Amino acid sequence: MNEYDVLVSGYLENSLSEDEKERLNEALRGSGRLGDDLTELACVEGLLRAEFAPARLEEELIARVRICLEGHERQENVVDGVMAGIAGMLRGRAAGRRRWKHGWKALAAAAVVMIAAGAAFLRAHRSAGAEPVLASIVGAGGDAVITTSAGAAEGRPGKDIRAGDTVKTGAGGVELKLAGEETYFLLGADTGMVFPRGAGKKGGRLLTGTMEVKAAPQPAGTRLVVKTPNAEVEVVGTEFRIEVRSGSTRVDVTAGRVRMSRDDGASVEIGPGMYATARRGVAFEETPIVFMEAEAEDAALESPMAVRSDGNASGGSYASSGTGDAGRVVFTFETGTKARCRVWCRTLAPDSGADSFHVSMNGGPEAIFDLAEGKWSGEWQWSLLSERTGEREAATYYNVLRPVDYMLRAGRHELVFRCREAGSTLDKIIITSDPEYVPGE
Amino acid sequence: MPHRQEDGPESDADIIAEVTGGNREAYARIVRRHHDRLRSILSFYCRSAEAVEEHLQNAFVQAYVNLDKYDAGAAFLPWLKTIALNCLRDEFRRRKASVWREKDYVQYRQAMRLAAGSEAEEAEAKRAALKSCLKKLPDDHTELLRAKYTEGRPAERLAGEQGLTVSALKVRLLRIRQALKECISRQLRHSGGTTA
Repeated sequence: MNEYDVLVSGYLENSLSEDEKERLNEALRGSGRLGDDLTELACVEGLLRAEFAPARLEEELIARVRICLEGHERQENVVDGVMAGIAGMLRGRAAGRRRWKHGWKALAAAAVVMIAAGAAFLRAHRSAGAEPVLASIVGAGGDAVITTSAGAAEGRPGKDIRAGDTVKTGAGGVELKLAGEETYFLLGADTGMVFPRGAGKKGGRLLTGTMEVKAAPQPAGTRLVVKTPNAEVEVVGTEFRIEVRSGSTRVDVTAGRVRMSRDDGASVEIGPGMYATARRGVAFEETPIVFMEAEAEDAALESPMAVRSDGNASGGSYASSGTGDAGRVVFTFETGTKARCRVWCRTLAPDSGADSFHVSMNGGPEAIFDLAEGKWSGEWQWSLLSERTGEREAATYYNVLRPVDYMLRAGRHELVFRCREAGSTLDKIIITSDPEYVPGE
Repeated sequence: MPHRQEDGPESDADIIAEVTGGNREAYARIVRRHHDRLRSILSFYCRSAEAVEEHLQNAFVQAYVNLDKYDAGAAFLPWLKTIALNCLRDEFRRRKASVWREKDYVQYRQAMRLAAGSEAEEAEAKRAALKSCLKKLPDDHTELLRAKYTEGRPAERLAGEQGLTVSALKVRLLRIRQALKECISRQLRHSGGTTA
C-alpha cells in the first residue's frame, strides 16, 4: 500500500493521527482529482455502513426517539399546566359556580381512562409473564416507564423488569435491584436502558443518559455487562457510573475495577478514582476523575494566616500563621462527578515544633494533619494529607497516621486548613482521585 | 436489514393520523418504516456513524414535533428527508467553513455540496446502485463487509480470520470500496445519472 492509500484507508476508518490528517488534507487541497476521488470513496463508505447497519440500531433508535418525545411532552405538559393555571385564574369565581353542573362529565371521562388503563395492564401482564424477571424497581424518583412487548407501564417501586423490557426515566431517576443479588442500578434523569434477552445474560444496554452501578462481587463464570452504543463495560464487583451522550460513553469508577471495550476492539482497564471515554478521536485511556492543583497563596486566607516569600516555594510564596490555633487557608473547588479523593500537600517542616494543621472538608470534623511526622526536613516536601489514629509507634513514639480519603459528590467543595502550631507552612496542594499518584517535585 | 415498502397495507397517513390522535407509540412504526433510507442519506453526508445516528434521532423527533405542519395528502418520506437535510445544513452552517476546510477537507466538500442545494436524490441513486453492485461482489467480499460493518468485528480479529496481516486486510477493504465506487459510477452513467 502506498502512502496515499494508507492515508485514504485511515481516513475512511477514522483512525488517522493529527499529523496524518494534516498530510492528507494538504494532498487533497493540492489536487482536485484526489479530492473528488476521496469524497466519492467517503460516500461509498457511508452507504456501506448504512447498508450493513446492525439490526439493533433500529430498536435503539426507536427507544431514543421515544425518550426524546417523552421529554418533549413533559415540557409541553408544564407549559399546558401553566397556561391552564392562568386561564383558571382569569375565569375566577364564574367557573366555580358551574363546577358541579359539569361534574358528571369529568366522572365519565375518568371511568373511560380507568377502563383503558385496566385493559392495558391486563394485556401487559398476560404476555410479559413468559420472560424471566431480571430486576425490580426499589426506588423511583420520577415518572419512569417500563415498556414491554405488550405496552407501557408505570415504573413504580415493586415493579418487576423482565428480559426484553426497556426502562425509561423522566425528570427523576429510578433505582433497580437485580434479581437474586445485591447489585443496584441507579438510572439518572432522561435515561433509557434495555434488559437483555437470552439465558445467562446479565446487565443491559444503556441507550442514553447516565447510570450508577453498585455491583456485588460476581461469581466465577458470570458476566455482568453493560453495553452502550459504542462500548462495553464488564463489571467484576465494583461501583461506577456510566454516561452515554452523542456517540460518547464515559465510565467513572468509584471502587473496584472495570474493563471497558470500545466497538473497534480496543479495551482499557479502569481503576478506582479513574475514568475513560470511548469516543472517536479521543484517547482511550484511564484518567483521574479529579486532578487539580492550587497554590496556598491563591486560596482565601483568614488572618493571621498570611502570604510569605521563599524562593524554594512553588510560585515563590506560601501561607503561614504566626499564631497557634488561629488563621485559615480556605480552598474552594468543584468536581464534575462523584469520586473518592486524596490531598497531597507541599510543606516545610524542619522540626516537630511547627508541623500541624487542623483540616476539614465541607464543614466536616477536623482532623489533625501532622505535616512530616518522623521525616522532618529543612527542604520543602510533599506529604499525603493524613490523620492520627490515636496510636504511637513503640520505638519512636511518633504518631501513627492514616491517609484521609474524601468521598466527594459532584459540586462545590470547601477544604479548610486551620493553623494548629504557629509557623506551620502550606505551599501548594494537589487534589486527586488517583490513589496511586505521587507528586514528583 | 429488511426494508419495508411504503405502499403496504397501512399508509403513512394512517399512522400519522393515529399518532396525532393521541397514540404516540404508533410513531415507532414510522421510525421502523423509514429509518433505513434516511440512514443512507445521512451516511452519505456524515463522516461518523455516531453523527448519523444522532441526526437520525433528531430528524424523527423534529418531524414528530412538527407533525401539525405535515400535509397528510403528501408522501411522508420526502418531508422527513427535507427535515433531516435541513438539520444537517444547520449543523454545517454552525461550524466555521475555513476551520473545517483545514481539518477535514472531504467533510468540507460534502458540506459545500449540501449547502449548494444537493438533495437526497443523489444519495438515493447511489444507494440503489450500491445495492446492485453488491450483488456482483464475490461472496467472501460480501461476508467480509458484513463481518466488519454489521457485526463490528475489530480489524485484528478479521485479519486473523482471513489469514491476512492487518495491513493486508486494510488494502483488501480499500480495493473493495474502490471497486464499488467504480461500479456505482458505471451504473449511474448507464442510467443517465451523475457521479459527483
